[in-house]
Amino acid sequence: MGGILKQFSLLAVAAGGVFEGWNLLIVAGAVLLGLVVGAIPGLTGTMALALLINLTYTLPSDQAVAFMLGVYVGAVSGGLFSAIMLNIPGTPNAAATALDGYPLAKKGKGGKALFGGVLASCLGTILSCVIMMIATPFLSSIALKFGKWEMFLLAIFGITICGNLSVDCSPLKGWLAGFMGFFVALIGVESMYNSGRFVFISQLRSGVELIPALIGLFGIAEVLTVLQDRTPFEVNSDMGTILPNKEEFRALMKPLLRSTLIGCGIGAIPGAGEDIAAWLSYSTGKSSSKNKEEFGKGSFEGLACSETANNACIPGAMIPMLTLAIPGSTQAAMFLAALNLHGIQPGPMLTVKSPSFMYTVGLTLMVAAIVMLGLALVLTKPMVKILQINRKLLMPIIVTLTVVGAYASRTNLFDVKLMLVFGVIGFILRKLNFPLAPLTLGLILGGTADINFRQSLTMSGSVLTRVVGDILIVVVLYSLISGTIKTVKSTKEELASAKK
Amino acid sequence: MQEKKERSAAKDFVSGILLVLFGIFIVVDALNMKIYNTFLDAPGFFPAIVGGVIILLGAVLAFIGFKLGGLTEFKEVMNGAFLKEFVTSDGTVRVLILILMMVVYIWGLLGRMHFIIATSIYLIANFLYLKAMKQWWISIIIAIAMSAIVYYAFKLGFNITMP
Repeated sequence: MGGILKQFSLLAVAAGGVFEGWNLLIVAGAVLLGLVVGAIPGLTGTMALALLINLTYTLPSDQAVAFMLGVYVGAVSGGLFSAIMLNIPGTPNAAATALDGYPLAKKGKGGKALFGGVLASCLGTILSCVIMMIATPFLSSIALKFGKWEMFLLAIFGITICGNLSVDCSPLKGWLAGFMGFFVALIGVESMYNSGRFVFISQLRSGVELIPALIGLFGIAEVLTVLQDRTPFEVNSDMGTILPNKEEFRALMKPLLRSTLIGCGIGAIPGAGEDIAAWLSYSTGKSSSKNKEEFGKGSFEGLACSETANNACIPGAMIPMLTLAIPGSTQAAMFLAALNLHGIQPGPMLTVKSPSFMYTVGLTLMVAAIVMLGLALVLTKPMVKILQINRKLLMPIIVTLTVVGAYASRTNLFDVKLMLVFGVIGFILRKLNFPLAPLTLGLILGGTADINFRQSLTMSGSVLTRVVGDILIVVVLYSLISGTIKTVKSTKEELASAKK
Repeated sequence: MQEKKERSAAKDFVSGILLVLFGIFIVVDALNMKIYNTFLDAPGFFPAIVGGVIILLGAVLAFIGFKLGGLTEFKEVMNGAFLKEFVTSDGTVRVLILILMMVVYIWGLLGRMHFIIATSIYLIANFLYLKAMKQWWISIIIAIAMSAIVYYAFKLGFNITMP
């Protein structure tokens, strides 16, 4: 009982900060910026965070957190604008949204689909926030018991499960990307003996800075991908009204709870991300719906399945990030980098050092979701104009913003060069069909895995005796075995089709 | 469809081999690192494991690519029309030129001249190359205006140190 009262008092403390006037204004502005960036085809939520992290450098940490979370919510939802109006998902997580959103737009119900999508996104975020705020203190208390061996196993689990769940490629490539990320994280002077590793040039002694690397991987690589394709867009300007009728509203609400649970659950898996949540929710919704024949032809229920889940993924991704410092998605990884920049260290000790912080995150996400719904009511029609933006003008300007972002984190021109190198690497890896999420996770977890692994081997002779560690070993093994089976299966299928 | 599959097999085959070589480099470099107390806590221990895993997984990827016809396809790509088509294709040339312009901007211009001048040159080159606007002079005006806006917005608006 005392514990619950303590949590309520922490919630009240967090609410005091979140509902402060200036913070609310920052969230509103951030959601709008996120919506705009997310709506532009080719610009993902991660890129939105990478670009807009610039604006937080000089902000106090509470306002920076409010800003980044606002952008995060806005950018994940923004993708639905181009998915519905152009049949081109603005972000990968909106790909499933296009399946029903675009047919609805073709029927002249584009306005209703846009507003319905934002409504589903808003409700998904809010419900998932409630789950997050209940689950995080519980998981934090478990995380506090983790030793070095468990932390190492968690890092390995993050890479293996993230590789397994990578969309459009085999787990093998996901694992390879994860270990490449590990390698990059090991560059620089290590902390145990102050010994340099892979320091080919003196500027690498302090290691690879996370923010320039992520800006390169998700900013420059995306600019190159977008500009490689010259396909022009055609916007369907006949949107109709934006408010759904009773029947359509009921269809939107049907998958709410299930999609929220799927989104939140997938979000909590390291590196899995919003796109997987949306697809899983859509396919589950389709198989269990009474109106499955309408899916793909303009179903409000189908639209709600993907939009609820991809936004419910945001609070879900915060659970492992806040408790274990393992991001649930690439966007959460970017948010983690921003937190580190502002001196906030997520992980098991966060609940001890800043016990109200996770409530601040949860409440801010809720506020951002409500603001987004309000903005959608007013701005749905003007937002569609953003889709017609000249990408040949926009993309080079984005390059200059990435330059500012990479430079500003340490005011070091070397970081800008590093960003470009990572941008080109990211572009090549995309072309070779390697997923970037495990690479990002490896980059973040490499240092943790290294130090915890070596210390656990030398400090304790019985690393296999702890129960949590044993469970994690089983989970990692299961993840490896299932990934191997998946790889073998897909290889066999490819071999069979190649023989035909 | 068949052509696409074969090309992806060649990609897997080649990237698998490159990753094996990369893994060997990591292991060799890691094994040459100094051992302080025991090898278990040596700086090179974990990197050696990472390198070893990359060798193993890279070899599996190369093997899968090989089984899917990657070697045959790779030979075709390197000898014939595929390579010519790839090197001269509109998309490849555009990406290479865009990367080159970024390299010149970041290595050659930034830090050597004022941010607004460096960025204006970069943006003008990009806009003109991409034919962003029908009239070239509008591209130049937008490039200079955007460079100034980015500079002053971040420097004055957000108090950020600019390159």
